[in-house]
Amino acid sequence: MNLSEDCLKGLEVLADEKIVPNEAFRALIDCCFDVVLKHETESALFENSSLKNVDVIALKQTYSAFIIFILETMKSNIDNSVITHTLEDHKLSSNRIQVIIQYFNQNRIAIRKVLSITNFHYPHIIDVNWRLDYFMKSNSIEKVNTPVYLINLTTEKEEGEKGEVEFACTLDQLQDLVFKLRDAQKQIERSSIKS
Amino acid sequence: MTHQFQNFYLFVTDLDNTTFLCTSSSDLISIHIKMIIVLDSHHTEDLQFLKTVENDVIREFCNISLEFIRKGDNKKLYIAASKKLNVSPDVIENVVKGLSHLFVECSRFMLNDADFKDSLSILKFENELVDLLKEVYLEQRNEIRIILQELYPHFDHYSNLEWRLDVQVANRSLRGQTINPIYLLKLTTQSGGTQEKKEHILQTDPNNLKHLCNELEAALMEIRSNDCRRIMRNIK
Repeated sequence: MNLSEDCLKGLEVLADEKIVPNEAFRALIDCCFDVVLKHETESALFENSSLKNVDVIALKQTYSAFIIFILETMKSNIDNSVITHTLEDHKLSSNRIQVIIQYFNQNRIAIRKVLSITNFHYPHIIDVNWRLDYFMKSNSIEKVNTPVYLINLTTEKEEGEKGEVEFACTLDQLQDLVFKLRDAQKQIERSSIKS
Repeated sequence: MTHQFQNFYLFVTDLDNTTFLCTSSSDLISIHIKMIIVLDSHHTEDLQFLKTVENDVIREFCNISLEFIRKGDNKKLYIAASKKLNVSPDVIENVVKGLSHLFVECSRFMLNDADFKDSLSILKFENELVDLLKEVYLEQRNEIRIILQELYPHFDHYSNLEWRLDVQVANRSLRGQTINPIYLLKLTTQSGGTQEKKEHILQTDPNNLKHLCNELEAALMEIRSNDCRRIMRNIK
C-alpha cells in the first residue's frame, strides 16, 4: 500500500490525543465512513458539535488523510492485520485502532460496493414499460388493423439521473427483440457452467 | 314483402369527397359495400392526357408516380419526360400527381379491382388502359400501403439489437476480487418515414435483463389473451 507523505502525516495527527481527543476521534471516524458510504456530505464535518473544539487545519488534515486511508485500503481489499500494522507504525493507540478495525469490519462490503459503482458507464437499463396498441387507421391509410407495441426503457446514467429510450415495434420485431434478449440472458448461464 | 324493393343509401366519405351510393337490400346482405374514390375535376382533366399516349409511355408515367410516392418531387424527371413528349413540364407534373393521388387513395382504402375500375369510369378510358392501370395498382398496392403506414407512428421503430457480455474485473477505484457482469446492448432504431438509423448504446446487468425479458414476454403473451383476441376479431 502506497500512501502519500501528507496522508501519513495526517494519520500521525490523528494519533495525537491532545489535538484530537477521544470524543472527537470517534466523531471524525464516524463521519469519514459516512462520507465514503455517501450517507453524508463533507459539510457534516463542520456541523458536528464534538468536533467544534478541534483546530480546523488539523481537522481538515486528519479528515483528508483518513478518507485516503479508507479508499486506498478498500481499493485493494487489504485485510485487518495489515491495517493494524500500518496504524501501529503511525503511533495510533491500540484503543483507537480497535475502533477503526470495528468500522472496517462493519462496512467493508458496503464500501467496496460503492467503489465498484464509482465509475463511468453507459446508460444502464433499470426498467421497462410497454403498451400494446391496435393500429386501425391514420390520416393517410385505412384498414391497417395491426398490433403496434410501444416500448419505453428507463435508464440511469449516474445515480438518480434518469433517462429514457422510446421506440415502437411490430409483433414480429418484438419477437425478434425478445429472442435476442433471451439468448443474451442464457449466455451467462452457459458461461457459468463452462467455468 | 315491401322491403325487397327498398334501397339503401350509403354515404361514403373521405376527407375531400362524398359519394352517394345506392344499393339494394340483397346486395347489402352480401355485405359488400361499394367503395369508390371520386376524382375531382382537376385530376380528371389532368389524367385525360393519358388517352393521347402509348402504353409504354403510360407505364413510364406509372413508374414516375411510384417514385413520387416513395421519394417525393423530382423536377428533373419531369423535364426529361417533357422533352421526349414535346409538352410542357407542368403537364407531366400534373399527370404524375394525378396518378399518384389515384394510387394512394385507392391503396388507402384497399379498393378491390372492381372498385378500382369503377372509380376510373368517370375518366372514360379505354378498357385496355384501365386494365393496365389496374395491373400496376394491384402490383404496387402493398408497397404503397407500407409507405403510407410508415408515416405513423412518428416514433422510432425497432430495427436491430446486438449484445455483448462483458465482465468488469477492475476500475480506478477498485482492484481485484470483483466480478461484475455487464451486458452491453446496441439498439438500432429507425425513425418513422425515413431511412435514418439511430444507435443507442445501453448496458444492463443480469437481473435487470431478466426483468426486461420477462416483461417483454408478458407483452407478447398479451396479444394471445382472450381480451385482445376479441377486440381484434371485432375490429374489421
